[in-house]
Amino acid sequence: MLPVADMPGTPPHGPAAPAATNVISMPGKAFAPRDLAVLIGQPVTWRNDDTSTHDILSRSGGIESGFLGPGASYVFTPSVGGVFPYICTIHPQMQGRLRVYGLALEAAAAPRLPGRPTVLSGVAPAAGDEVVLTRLEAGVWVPDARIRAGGGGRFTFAVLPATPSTYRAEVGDRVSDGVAVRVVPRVTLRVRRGAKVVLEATATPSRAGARVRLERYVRERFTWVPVRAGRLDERSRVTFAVRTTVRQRLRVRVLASRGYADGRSAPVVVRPR
Amino acid sequence: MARVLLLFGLFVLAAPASAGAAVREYWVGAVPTTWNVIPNGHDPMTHTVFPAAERIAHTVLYRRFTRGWRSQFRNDREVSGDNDGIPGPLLRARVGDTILVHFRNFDPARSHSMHFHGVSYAEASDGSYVPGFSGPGGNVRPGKTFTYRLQAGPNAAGVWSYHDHSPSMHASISGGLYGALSILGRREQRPDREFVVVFSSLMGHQTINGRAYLGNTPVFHAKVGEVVQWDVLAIGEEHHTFHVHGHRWVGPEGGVDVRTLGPAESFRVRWREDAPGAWLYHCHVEGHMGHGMIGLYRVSR
Repeated sequence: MLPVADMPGTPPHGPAAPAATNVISMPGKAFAPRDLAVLIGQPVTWRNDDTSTHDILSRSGGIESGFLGPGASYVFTPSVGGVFPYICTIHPQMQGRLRVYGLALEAAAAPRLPGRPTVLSGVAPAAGDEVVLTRLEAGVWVPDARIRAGGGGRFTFAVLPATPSTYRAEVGDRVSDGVAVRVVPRVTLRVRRGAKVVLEATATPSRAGARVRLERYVRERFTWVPVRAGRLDERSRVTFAVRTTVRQRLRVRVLASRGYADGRSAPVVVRPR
Repeated sequence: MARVLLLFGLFVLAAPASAGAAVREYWVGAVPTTWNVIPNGHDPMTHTVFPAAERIAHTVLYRRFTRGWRSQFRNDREVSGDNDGIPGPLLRARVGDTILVHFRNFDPARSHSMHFHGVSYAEASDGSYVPGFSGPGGNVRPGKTFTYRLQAGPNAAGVWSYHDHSPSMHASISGGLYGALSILGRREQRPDREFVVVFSSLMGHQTINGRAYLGNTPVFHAKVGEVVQWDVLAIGEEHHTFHVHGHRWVGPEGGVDVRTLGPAESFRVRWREDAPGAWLYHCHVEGHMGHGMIGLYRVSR
């Protein structure tokens, strides 16, 4: 677990936005940004930058602007948390979503490589608030790290749990939603040449029982194609015997399940003898 | 004797004018389908990855069936890549043939139809919806069937499009409800390979046979020495310029290697293959090529 001090001037990876910039523009027949996360009490401004009239209406949450001509704005300050999809009723293909949190916490894009931390970013009500990151362990939320929110209430944590974990942030009595952080297993692939050529794959941490795919790179498809299926044994290992009549570029993928993300080995090339 | 000659003469006149003309029958359905525009999930040129929401469409496509719509089978793997739905089944005939297309609408929500280019038909088989004029053929309701009777006349040799022309045609065509007819001259030799290429768009991507980006678009194969035929069509809103690397063909003004086509235009090009290699084929409108309208053509020795 690596607590990282907030970096002022660097926006968090997630779409959660600091209070000053909660503006949604309509530059044409679309909302930009389409998806915005704010905190309870933070005003959101929709601004019509298009040359057509638009409006904003949500089925729940009370967002109802009436017609907005070009250049007009509408301000809405949420008082309850929730997820509120909205549309322009004049152009129903214009769709957006407002997410309102008591306290926001989000995972940035999940890491694809093993050993890389996941960045959790969020927004607290005010700069200087003390944010406690807690992790769920055997049904109990256990403090994991602490940080002071930076400008606009923003904060980030970088986490690298050994096993799949759920985190949440706490500021006073405000509590964020839980965020699940997946673990990417490391998959190593060895080639054993004997009477047959055998590929042996091992996953760490142990993923005993997980489903596995042997994939081959198909040049004209510019992609990896599954060719064989298998399962990791109790030692988190699997073997595949492969043909040696043609040159093949192969790799092994351990499929995601139970809080673990897909893990992929580096490719190997098996050449004809 | 005169009577015998008269009867013989009448018999000759009554026989079909085109000896060897056939009646070809096809069973086609408009079927709700989930279609993946980018099955590999990425563009290998730019390494852009596309999330599922940007590439998976719930749409209605023409699919081929056995007689009486008993069972569905693959549209035409050999000619349209492994695409099984866009374009719809390739309908083949020769000049002089009668073509019966039995159509059934499997979409529970909307009417559909089939309107054919290039062939002759009576008004009842026009397949387009004209309020006050058209009959059931232009507006085949959910669950209903209609048989289109078409004739491949003397000017029908070539490749032509067919598509929905019912009240829902705008949404249907942008969802992939189109296909091709390939008609040979009476005595024209079939090519060794036939490749169908339909330029259109779907979910904001520029598509070839409903797919976008290298690896997802059809990969065509041929051998040196084979006669290959490209059936090229465009459907939708835009003009496209068809180009194949490493090859050129003869047009009205001499050599050509890029040819324009607009919506519903089509043409076929043939050559005897002489250039081994892995060649790109694509629309040369730069923005279209960058948004998916590019594929691979492999020629082996």
